[in-house]
Amino acid sequence: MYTQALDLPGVQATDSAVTEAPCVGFDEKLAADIKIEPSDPMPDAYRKTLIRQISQHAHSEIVGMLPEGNWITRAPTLKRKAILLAKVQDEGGHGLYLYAAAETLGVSRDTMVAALLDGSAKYSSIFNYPTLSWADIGVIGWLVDGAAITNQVPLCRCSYGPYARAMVRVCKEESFHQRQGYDLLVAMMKGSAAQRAMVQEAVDRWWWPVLMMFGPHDQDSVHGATSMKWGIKRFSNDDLRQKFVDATVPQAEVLGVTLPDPDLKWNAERGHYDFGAIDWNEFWQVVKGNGPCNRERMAARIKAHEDGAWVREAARVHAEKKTARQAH
Amino acid sequence: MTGFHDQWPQYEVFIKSRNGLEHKHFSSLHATDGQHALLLARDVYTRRQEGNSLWVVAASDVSQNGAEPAAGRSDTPRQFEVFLRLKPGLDHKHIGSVDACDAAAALRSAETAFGQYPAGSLWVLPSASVLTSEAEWSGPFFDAMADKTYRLPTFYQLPAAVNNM
Repeated sequence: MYTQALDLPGVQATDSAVTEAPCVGFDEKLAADIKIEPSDPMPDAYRKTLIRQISQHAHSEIVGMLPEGNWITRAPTLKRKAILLAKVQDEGGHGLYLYAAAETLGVSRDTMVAALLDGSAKYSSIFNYPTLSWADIGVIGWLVDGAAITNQVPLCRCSYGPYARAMVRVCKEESFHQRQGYDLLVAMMKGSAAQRAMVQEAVDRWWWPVLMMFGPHDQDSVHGATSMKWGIKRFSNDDLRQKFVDATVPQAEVLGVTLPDPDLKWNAERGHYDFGAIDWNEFWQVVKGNGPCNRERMAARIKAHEDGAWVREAARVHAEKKTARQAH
Repeated sequence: MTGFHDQWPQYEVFIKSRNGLEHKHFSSLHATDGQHALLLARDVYTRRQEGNSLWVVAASDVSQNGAEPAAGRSDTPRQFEVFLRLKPGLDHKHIGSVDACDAAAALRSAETAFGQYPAGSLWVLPSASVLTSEAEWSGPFFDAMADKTYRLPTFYQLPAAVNNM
């Protein structure tokens, strides 16, 4: 999964910092498409931008376990339960790959987790929507992970080595996520009229929030230009959104569902699908904490962290005692 | 709010893939000790049988050329494992070992033994501080991953028109 939160306001814009003293070899490496590695000199603003983006990406993976985790105990078959368990475990794994990549920039895991829990760091707005039916699990795999893949594949070529390598691993695993979702929906569409209606209802609810995952329109994007220049971002929000819509419309037709947009139609002149206006008011409301599940998600993360404190402490003390015993 | 600043020590993780010849640096994780780090490394980094051998080492034991070497000096030479990243963008790969009394000397010996790579990066770490999955587990440690074929994209046969998804 993925965050659109890279372009959010409320964090320091990086453009002003571009004027700082040049770092030896940095611009040359970017120009030659040579990866920047942790020990290389890099502008402070580049480091900060990456820490923000990678940590918020990691937070999104971790919070993203909650909406799907909601259905693990209620999966309709053992097969679907095993698949969903594996998928949610992957999301946790992706969060860990990304936290580790961010740590190479000199930020501690504790600091990142604290920023998530005190609300100063963002995570993807998509996870503030509820999972109301089993069809949501299929739609999340198909559309949410589909959008994530569209966003993430270019990040495999990101200029920062550890982030690029983490993203290669993430992308390898995302294909399973999207396919299991679509496979689940195909099975439901072969079922009863009620099951087909459940799929359509889930698609109706998720479609617009999924389009918002790509972030604000290019002209409203805060960090877009600098991130492009630094090779962190390779395509603009609107380009990625269009790519996703073009790929998804035929998949909806094969599945037999209607995407809830009367303005959605093929534009032969552009060679793309046109689609209707996105309700950005809804997007900003969710980003600001007023989405359907913002408070519930944060409360669940804080509770998990606090309930786990004694486990972390006990494991640490046990390891220290073991080391002390071996020393004798 | 309690428990924010209680992270466990950091370990670097190296994995040898099933057909690989050498251990490659994968990433890092936090664990209470080496044993714990091995278990976590399996679950975090080899959920799809990405490897059949794991090494973990405390991040504080890793020294890189051009940076402050890890502390610790012995009177007689001890063995250090050497990892090389040929150029930016690649992982550090295990290329052999050298004997030295401290990390700085090990880095110099490694450059003599394996050559200097201007765009490359060398890591050395004391062999004695490496924990390996071979020591305690062999097959069974990784076997549980083998029967979870539903983790692979090929498990799902979609309608032909969209099967390239």
